Amino acid sequence: MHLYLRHLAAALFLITFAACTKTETIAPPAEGQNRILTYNIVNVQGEPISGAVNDRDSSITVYLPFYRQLVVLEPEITVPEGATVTPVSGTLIEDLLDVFRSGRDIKYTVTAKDGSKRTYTLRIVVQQPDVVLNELSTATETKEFTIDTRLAYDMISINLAGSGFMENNELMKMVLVDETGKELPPIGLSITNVGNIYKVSGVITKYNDPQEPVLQELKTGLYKIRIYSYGKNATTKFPVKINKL
Amino acid sequence: MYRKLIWCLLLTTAAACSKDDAPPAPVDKPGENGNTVKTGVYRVVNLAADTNATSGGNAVSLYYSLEENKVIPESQRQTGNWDIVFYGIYNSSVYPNNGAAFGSPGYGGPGKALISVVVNRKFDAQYYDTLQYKPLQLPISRDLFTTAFESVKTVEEDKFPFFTRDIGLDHFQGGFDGWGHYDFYGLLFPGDPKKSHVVYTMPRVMVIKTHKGRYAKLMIENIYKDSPANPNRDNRPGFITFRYAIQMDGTKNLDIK
Repeated sequence: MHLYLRHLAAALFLITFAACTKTETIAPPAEGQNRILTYNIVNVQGEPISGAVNDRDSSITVYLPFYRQLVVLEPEITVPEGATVTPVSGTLIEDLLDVFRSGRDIKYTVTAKDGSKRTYTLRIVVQQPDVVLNELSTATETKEFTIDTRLAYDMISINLAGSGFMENNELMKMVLVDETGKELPPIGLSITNVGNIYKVSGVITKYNDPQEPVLQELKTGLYKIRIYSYGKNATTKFPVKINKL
Repeated sequence: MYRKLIWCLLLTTAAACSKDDAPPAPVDKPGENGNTVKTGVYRVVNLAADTNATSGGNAVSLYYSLEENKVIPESQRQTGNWDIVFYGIYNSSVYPNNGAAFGSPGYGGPGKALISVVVNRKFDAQYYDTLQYKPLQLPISRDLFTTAFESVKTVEEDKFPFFTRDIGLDHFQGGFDGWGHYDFYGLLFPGDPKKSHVVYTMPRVMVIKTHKGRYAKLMIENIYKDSPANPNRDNRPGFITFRYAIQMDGTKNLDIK
């Protein structure tokens, strides 16, 4: 009898244990239907650039290598069935240089079939070497430039050596920064110094009216030089002096 | 048994061959997005590219979709929305939208377009010194332009290879055949100061494979306003007049009326 009960207890124990294991298996929570499933940049040669979609902080991160020289992005976005996304898949992100330099919020709102919404923020990370500028002035000696606007024609040429420049001038910008930190309009880059990734050459010219915007705003004073190179920029530590006569 | 095997092999080979030979199917069908043109000949007159253009620097680039017959904004230069761009000084370099061509306007983008220029020295001899690379007489007869355009009836890649880079001014700063003669010094009209830095179009046809894989032929008729037959410095450049024929069915047939 005792033996019989013992066997029964063992069997019951086993059954209970097995049953318990079974009921402990729980299904993962259903994933939200207001998600971005994939985010790919497709306006490239070959394989698209895949963005990393992070549901935890509702962000999409796109890593852009500088050598692709992209100034416009065409994203292809997928969402669950029945959901919609705005702006819609394929909406171009134009003027990427302005996004890098001025900042611009780029957000995507997904609306699920049940009406629930979720907004993702796009983060663009440019993978690019830093911009390094060789100073024209030192702490004690300030380099001077003079442009005489009384002449029919005059010009100054600002040559800055360094590294991290792009070989395509369209992806570069040179600006003067005055003592209050304000940027003047961009300086035209020399069309004879192209494809040079170790030197950037800016030219301010006094010639026929109307004068170029940078010359109109220029006053005699101290200016730092800021170079924008694709997704990065750098400013000289020491200013130069520009005399406008 | 062996017979069956041979048949199998033959069929496989044939299938493989036909796949290779068939032109790559265009990405979409004409008219699919409502904007594409039909197979036909189109003429674009006085397209204002950069009307302040000088010979001193690059003009504002002008991006063009042959499949939609319209200008595309420069901000979309790294997309598949355009096929060719009129680029550089006087918009004289015609680049295809090719994202693999380093330093070209579409570099980095998805573009797959290609371009070639058809050159027939026998035909050229009617208006052109084929050794000195300059026109024999100006203006060049307009009939020659029509003849040249109509004589390109198919795509002959073996004769006129496609490039990913630009077709520009004929034998100017380089040994390349182009679509027009740039008289830098005014040598064709000695002593006439208004005849230097003038571009004369020649009856040359460019064949273009569009980004989406269709073929077109294109001829620039003039780059000056209202197409003067014998332009000089008083004529305003930056107004491109060109004609093109596009085949939308994906074949190489360019005998289009």
